[in-house]
Amino acid sequence: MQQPNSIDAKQLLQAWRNGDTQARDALFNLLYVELRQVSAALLRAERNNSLSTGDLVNEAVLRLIKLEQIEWTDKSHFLALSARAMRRILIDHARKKNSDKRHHHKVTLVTRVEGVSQRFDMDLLEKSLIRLGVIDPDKAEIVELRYFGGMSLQEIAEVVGASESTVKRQWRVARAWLLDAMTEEVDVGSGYA
Amino acid sequence: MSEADTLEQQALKLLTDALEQPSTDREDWVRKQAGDNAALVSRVLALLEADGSVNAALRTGGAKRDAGDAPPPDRAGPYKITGMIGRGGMGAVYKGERDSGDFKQIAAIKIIWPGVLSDSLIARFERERQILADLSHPNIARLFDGGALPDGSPYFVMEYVDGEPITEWADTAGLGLDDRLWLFRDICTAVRHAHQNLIVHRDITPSNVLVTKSGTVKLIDFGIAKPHSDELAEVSEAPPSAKSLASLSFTPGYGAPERAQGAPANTLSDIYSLGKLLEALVQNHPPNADVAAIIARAAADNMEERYASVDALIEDLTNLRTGYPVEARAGGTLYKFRKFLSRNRLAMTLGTLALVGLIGALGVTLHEYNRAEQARHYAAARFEQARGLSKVFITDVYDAIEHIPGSLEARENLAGIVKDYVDELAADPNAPDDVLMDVAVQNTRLSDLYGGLGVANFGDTETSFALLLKAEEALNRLLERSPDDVHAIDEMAWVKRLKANQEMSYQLDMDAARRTNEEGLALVERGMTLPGADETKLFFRLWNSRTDRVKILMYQNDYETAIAEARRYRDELAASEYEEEPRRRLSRLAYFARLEGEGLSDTQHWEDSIPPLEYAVKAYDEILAENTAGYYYNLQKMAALSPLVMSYLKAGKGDEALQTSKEAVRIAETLREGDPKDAASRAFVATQLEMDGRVESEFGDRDAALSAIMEALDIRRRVIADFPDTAGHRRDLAGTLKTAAIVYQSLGLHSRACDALHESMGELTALNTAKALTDVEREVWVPEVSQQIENYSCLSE
Repeated sequence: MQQPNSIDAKQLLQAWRNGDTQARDALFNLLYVELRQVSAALLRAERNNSLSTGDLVNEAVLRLIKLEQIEWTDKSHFLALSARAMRRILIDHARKKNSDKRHHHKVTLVTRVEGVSQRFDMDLLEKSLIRLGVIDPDKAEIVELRYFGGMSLQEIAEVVGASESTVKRQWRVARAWLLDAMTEEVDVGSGYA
Repeated sequence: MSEADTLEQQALKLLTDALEQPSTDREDWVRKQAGDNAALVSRVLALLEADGSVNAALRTGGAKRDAGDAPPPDRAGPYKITGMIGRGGMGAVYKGERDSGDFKQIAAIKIIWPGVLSDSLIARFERERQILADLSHPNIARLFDGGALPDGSPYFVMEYVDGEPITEWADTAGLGLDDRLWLFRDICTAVRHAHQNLIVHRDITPSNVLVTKSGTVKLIDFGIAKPHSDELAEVSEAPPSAKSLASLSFTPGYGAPERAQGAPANTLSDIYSLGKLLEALVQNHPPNADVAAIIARAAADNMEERYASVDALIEDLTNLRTGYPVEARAGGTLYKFRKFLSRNRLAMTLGTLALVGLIGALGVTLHEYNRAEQARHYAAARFEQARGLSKVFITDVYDAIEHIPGSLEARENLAGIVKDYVDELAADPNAPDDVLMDVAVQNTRLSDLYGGLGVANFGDTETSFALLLKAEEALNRLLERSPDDVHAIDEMAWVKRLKANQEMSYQLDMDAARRTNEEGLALVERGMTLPGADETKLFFRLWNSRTDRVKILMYQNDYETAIAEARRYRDELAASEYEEEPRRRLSRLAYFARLEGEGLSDTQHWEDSIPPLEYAVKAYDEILAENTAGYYYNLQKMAALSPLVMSYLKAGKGDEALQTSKEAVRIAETLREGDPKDAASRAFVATQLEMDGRVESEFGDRDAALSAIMEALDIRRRVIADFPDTAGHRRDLAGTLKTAAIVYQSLGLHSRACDALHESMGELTALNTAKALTDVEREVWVPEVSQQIENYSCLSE
């Protein structure tokens, strides 16, 4: 297992805390192997019980803390990194599943059924999220942290350096945009389903 | 950046601002802001619509669930699954239709993933299920049924509520502050109703509070919303730190802070969640100072500062609406309840924390009951409710908390409340059979709490006995009316047994005990011939009464008969064909073996007593190997070890005596740890230490002997200080002093030996004057002590 260099990690973390997003990406790459292993292991173990992604990410971070690779006070920042790892893993997972049953060509989508949704296509979400990242990277990041990372508003606020109420507003707007974008996709690709 | 992207950015910006506007004005506002940019208007309106669509997608941490692909089961019990409603942390909720029988019913079916619920949570649910099913309130979604799928996943069938989370509904409907408060009040009345039925919701959040299209608010998922962290199953493949996981995944914002530390849910944690819910509900309507005060009070971090009951919260909401001063703002706390809390220090003990909630709930109900009483015309429904509640408390709740270490004090306070209530019930001269049965059962339970033999108790034997007499009286009334009611006979046999035991052990009235025991035996024998006897515990009562008979014979100093009876019963048991759990039979065999050995040891047949006692100890070890924490079996084992130590000692088996005596002390201390204030367990420790001192002085270490005997005396004196009116404790001290004298003398501490003997004689004399000595004690002990005083030449100095 790649053993992240803790001095580098700390410096990168410091830089990230000061707003350097490149430092965040470097840190992610530094820890990714580990994060992915932890997350994937949890995902496998999870099959028959009901940990949410939030739990999984938390657990991954707890393990890192236990390995003394990060400090407890940096928890929310590492939750953010784990959220990103989780996003990649879940998307890969969903894509793999989709390719397995390609011949069905069935895409389940966000539809309003009795006021609540059916399940939907993760691949489609990922596409929409990438697009949102181009239009408004801050909002895309919040979605990543909240939806994939299961982080609280408070934790997200800490990571992105904004107030909780701002984060909350941004999340609401981003969520509306994504839901709309995914519905649009359905309309466009109606011949698909 | 493309033109399309720019448009999207503008749309996002405008949407952000639009959401700050009142929901009804948004469309107009957007059109006004966007001017003639039709593309922008259409984009923002589409986004607004997406925002308004209540949607389970893209929820916090929802990624994994959305990516999951567990297929729904076809059916759950009599319900056919017709669609999915949503997924949650513990499982998924489906829509189901009941298609069997004449009627069609649509329901929400919550299926829990296998392994999520621990056995203890399932057990709790089983206990609460009937109460949950009986929870009938217009604002509570009914629980219809529950069960397990073929794969073992538990499921719950609930009323299907087609609604939106309350906060979203209120926004959509454009409710003002007043209407929001009123809607919130409805939820509070629902929670109050549940608390009065001893049900705590555990997870009040906007997503569990739905509003239907017709505007009715409904609480869903009562009592099953969330497992408590230590009820989470430990799945072997799951991450090791399930506990840390549970606290991290704690519903952010709505769960009371003490729960994050692992405290179980109670009514006060529900009140906290209600406070947080109100906060969320009014967040876009800057609350006035009164509303803010109510929120702060309900959602206070410190439990003691919260409203003591949902009633108090509702009262404040009413104050607010009617213009009265709001209690929360006065800064006043509910002094009485707080005092109650500090008096009981319940809040300090996590194990009893749930009880705070129960007391709160119980207090509310009894308060209402009393108020109704004052009015002299309480509704029959209320009567039934209070009766049911009291029954639940004294059976289910009692059972649930009885074995929580340290719960004695909490139980004592709760018992007082129920005791008053049961007296009220019994006072009715026209009470029907089932009410009389309730009175008997509850008085019997209460009697156990106050001074039950062999169970952790408050050491108040007089109240305990008085309660048994009340139970006996109620059953006499019942049996006069219905002499062949086997259940009443069954209960009466039990009461007789407890009564005989108390007469024997506390009142030392052997004649009365013998009489009561014989009455009980006759009743059992008659009962066993009646139809329906199979459904009762009369078989067990028979054996219980027989063990009592042997004990009473021993106390009456008729050892010969006692030993013979014990042997006869052992043989009969060994040959019995009654089908029962092997462990039970083993335990009963062990019990008679112990009595036989005890009788032989008491009559100084040391060598003869060893085999039956060793048999008993071995049998209890076998039983305890399966259940190491069993209070009862530890107690029984200790009772067998005690005479065994004496027999080894007298038979000159020093190593065995030392080893056995240490084990007996260890068990006694374990029993005491469960409840350090329990008089009985403290006395056990003293008794075993006393023996240990004796054994050490003869075969072991001088210092160990001294320290054991002095600790034994110290415990005896402290117990007497705590319970000065129980003669038995003084008797015990007299006995320990006598042993202490032997130990001191053998260690060459002559004057200390004499002091101990004089003190022992003083106690015995006082007890004799108070007629608190048994025949054995008067005829054997007193002369023994006199003889020792003479032997040690204590009088000549």
